[in-house]
Amino acid sequence: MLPNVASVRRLSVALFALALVAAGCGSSASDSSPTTLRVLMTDDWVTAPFLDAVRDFEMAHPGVRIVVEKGPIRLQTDTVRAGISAGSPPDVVQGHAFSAASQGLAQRVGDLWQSHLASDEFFPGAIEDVTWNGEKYGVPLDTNAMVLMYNVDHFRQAGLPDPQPSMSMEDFARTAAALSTPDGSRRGLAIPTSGWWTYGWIKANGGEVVQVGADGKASFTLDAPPVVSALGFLAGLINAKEAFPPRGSDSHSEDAFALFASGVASMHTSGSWDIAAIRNNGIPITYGTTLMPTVLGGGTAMGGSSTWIPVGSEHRELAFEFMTHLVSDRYAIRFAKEEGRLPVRQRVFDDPYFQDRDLQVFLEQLKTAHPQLLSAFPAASADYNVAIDSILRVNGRDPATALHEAQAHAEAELVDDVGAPTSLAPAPPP
Amino acid sequence: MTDVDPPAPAPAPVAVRGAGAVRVRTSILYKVVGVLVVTLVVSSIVTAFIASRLTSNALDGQTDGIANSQLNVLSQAFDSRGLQLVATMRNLADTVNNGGLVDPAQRVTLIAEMNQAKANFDINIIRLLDRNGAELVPPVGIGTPLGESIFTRSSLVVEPASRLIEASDKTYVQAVAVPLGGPDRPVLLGAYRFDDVFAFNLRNQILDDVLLVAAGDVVGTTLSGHPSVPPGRKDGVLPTKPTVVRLEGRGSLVAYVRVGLNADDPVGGALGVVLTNPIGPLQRSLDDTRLLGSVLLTLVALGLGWVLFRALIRPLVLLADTAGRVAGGDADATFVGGGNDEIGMLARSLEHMRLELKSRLDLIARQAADLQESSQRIVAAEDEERQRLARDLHDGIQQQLVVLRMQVGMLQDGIGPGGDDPVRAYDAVGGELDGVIEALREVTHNLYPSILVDRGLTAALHSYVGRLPLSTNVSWQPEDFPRLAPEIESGAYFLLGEAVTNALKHARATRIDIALRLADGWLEVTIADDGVGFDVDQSRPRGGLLHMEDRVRSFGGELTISSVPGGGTSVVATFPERVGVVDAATTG
Repeated sequence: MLPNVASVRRLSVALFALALVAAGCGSSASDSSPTTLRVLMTDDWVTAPFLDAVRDFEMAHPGVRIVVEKGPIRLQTDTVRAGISAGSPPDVVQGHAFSAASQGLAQRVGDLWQSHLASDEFFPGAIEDVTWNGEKYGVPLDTNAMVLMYNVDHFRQAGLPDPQPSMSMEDFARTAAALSTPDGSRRGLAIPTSGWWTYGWIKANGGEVVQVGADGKASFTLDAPPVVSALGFLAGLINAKEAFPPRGSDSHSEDAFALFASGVASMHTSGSWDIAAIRNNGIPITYGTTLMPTVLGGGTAMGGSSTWIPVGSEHRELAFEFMTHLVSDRYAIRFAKEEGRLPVRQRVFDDPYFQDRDLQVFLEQLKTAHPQLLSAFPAASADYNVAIDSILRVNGRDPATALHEAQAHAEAELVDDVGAPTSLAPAPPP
Repeated sequence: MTDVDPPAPAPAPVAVRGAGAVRVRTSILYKVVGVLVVTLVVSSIVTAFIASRLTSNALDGQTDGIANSQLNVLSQAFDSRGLQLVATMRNLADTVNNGGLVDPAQRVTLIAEMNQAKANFDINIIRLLDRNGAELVPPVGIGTPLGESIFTRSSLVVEPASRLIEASDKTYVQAVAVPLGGPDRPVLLGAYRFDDVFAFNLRNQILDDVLLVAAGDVVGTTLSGHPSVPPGRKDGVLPTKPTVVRLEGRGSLVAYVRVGLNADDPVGGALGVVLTNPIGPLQRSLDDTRLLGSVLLTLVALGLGWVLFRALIRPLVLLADTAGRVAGGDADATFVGGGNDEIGMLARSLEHMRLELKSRLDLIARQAADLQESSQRIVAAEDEERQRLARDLHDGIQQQLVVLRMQVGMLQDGIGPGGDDPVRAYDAVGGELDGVIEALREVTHNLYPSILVDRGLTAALHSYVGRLPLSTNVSWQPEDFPRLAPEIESGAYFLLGEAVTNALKHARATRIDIALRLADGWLEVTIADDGVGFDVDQSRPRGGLLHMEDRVRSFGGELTISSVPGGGTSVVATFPERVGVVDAATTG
């Protein structure tokens, strides 16, 4: 039976509407712009495995373009804070999530952890790096521990046996003296003005600079005896010309490593990344590794870093996905092999690569490594840096006096530091 | 007159209403839809082709411009980095020279200065080399040591510009060598890596993927696949114009610009930009649109065809169906089509034709019925005439002949009507015979007057009126009235007799006027009397009038009776001049 006129009209209208919809589809088919994910890394992290991770992520996400930005870690906080203020923060930042959280710069990601990650897969120290006040603010990226590296040839030339894990501070002082030349052109150690670097020695000496309670409240111990004695020990090496002093207040670990790699300093305390640098760059040096010298119950500084999402990032889920992508086993092994960045997941250490003797030292040292939490308190951290800069130089200030002043300043500024997170951070996502 | 029911419509032929109609319907529909589809699709393809060509040409031009712009940015970034490297290394050289930092005793300061320069300008490698470009022993510097003489292994020379060279680890660096003072004339080398990191830095500037080429190989890129062979290279030549390549599963455009100081540099450095091929997505979009458009056009064409079928074909099919039914005898089938278009006009014309045909069929049916009745009445009249004739013969001539036979017998016995007188007896018999003869003449005259056969209608009429008992006026036109067909003459004559008899019997007329007129092939017979008349509208024809009407209709003529009570009666009958030439158009 033939349809009536109303049916004809309805069909005509439907066909016309279909044509319009199709025209709309056709015109909008090519109208797609990629989502840009801005990733801010410290400058020594933008390397081949990281860039491969970026490329792989982009391949898996055709609509995503990752803009990699890099800069020195000392400028990272200011860079992110400026981005947040301008309304265009990066989407992912590599550094220390707990420190960013303490300053109100990082978003909570506990909800994303629940759906994507399992805490018990990670080293407890790595979890500490992303935790503040019991909340997670990031994803661990790598871990490390400060160990003692030494120039084997120098030890041979000095007729010294390889340093032992049970070496004490006094043993180290004697060894440094034996390795140093009378003219001071070669010394046992090179000392930078690095808070993390000195923290390793403070921990080795059984000290601590800050205690943070579960409520996030800090208690500084900058002038505690183990801290004072540790820095006094390092200052003594400088004054005895058994260690190179920092060239200036901005002398960082790179200087110390360069002196060690150049055969000028015989020992070097650092993370495994410097071993990778020696290997990857073909630096002609024979080196060995052992645990940090320590007093009874001492430890070392935990290295490593984490990634976090700044407040104001509009790509929270995508950023977290990239963060978990970076920490996947595939890249974790590459970061370890090519860059000396140790994995944060315990299972990755089952890879045969980690049977390497040098890496075993780092694994052993990790057991006594602690993150340096002072970076969560910028003002106190700055006071501490001023103090060590004044101490670690030839004929520098008295450690006790300088650290006492730093302690006083830090306590006075504690209110501001603690108040910072709540004053900066917008309401965190649920 | 008796109404006659129209004949029942015969079943319409299947060929008209069934398969034949469907065949016509689908054939036309296919043609209409086919033409629509072909026209729309062809026009769509032609339009899309022209549009895609025009768009492609425009995009080619724009792509060239974009590629050149991007390559300029890349080239400038490379050159800027080189200039920065030169400036930084010169400053560092000044610092080294002024501070005497070449002295091994100043090694700590030298390293610190190198690190400072590295930190400030993100320089990857800074090495202190001997005058031949070889690493010192132990090596001094930051970043990858360069091993044996870099001057020997590469094209690097001490000059105030950066060059792209191969480092000792088979990587490529953008390097500059600055001479230092002192007796050994050492060299300070600074270098940026020409690698993936640089590629990503460049991508941040241009937001397109980047390729770094050295010595014919890709040494740095932002592409996921990290190709080793430069995409788009043909016969060892890198294209400087955007060239279509397939990368990461998608169509892209790649173009290169050469970098470095000298065109004959063996490293053959080049920077490439990878652009999303705007034509590829456009082509896909056009293909998708064409496909979608074709489907839509087909749907639209089908829809339009269907609409046309509804608007054009269906009414025609319905008209054809109706025409078939009408042709099959169903004159009540109505042609439907109320529009004002041609189909509507056709429908109205066909409907008008149907109504006309139906009217004619009704007329024919009525006439057939009338003829049937008329025939029956004629048969009845003939039977009645036979009965009358038989009665006349029985009551008249037969009785006279019986009497005559008795008289003849009596004559034989000598007892005839004349008694014994034979003469008288024979006279009596003779008289009886005369009576029989007269009676026979009367009968035969009444049956068919011989004068009508011999001398025609006017003579027979003249003879007839001569025997009438009242005043009768007879006239005819033309005066030289011709002989007509015998059937016409007899028909007219007996009609006259019937009419005159009626006037004598029922009208009590005292005068009768009879007129014959021959014109236009018709014979018009008029009988008018001055009798009592009657109401024609109230009186249905019967008896003699009906007989007269039957007689006229049997010839295809027409009978008209005009009368009013007291005003006399006029009977006008028309006969065709010739038998069998009745014009159907004049009988309705």
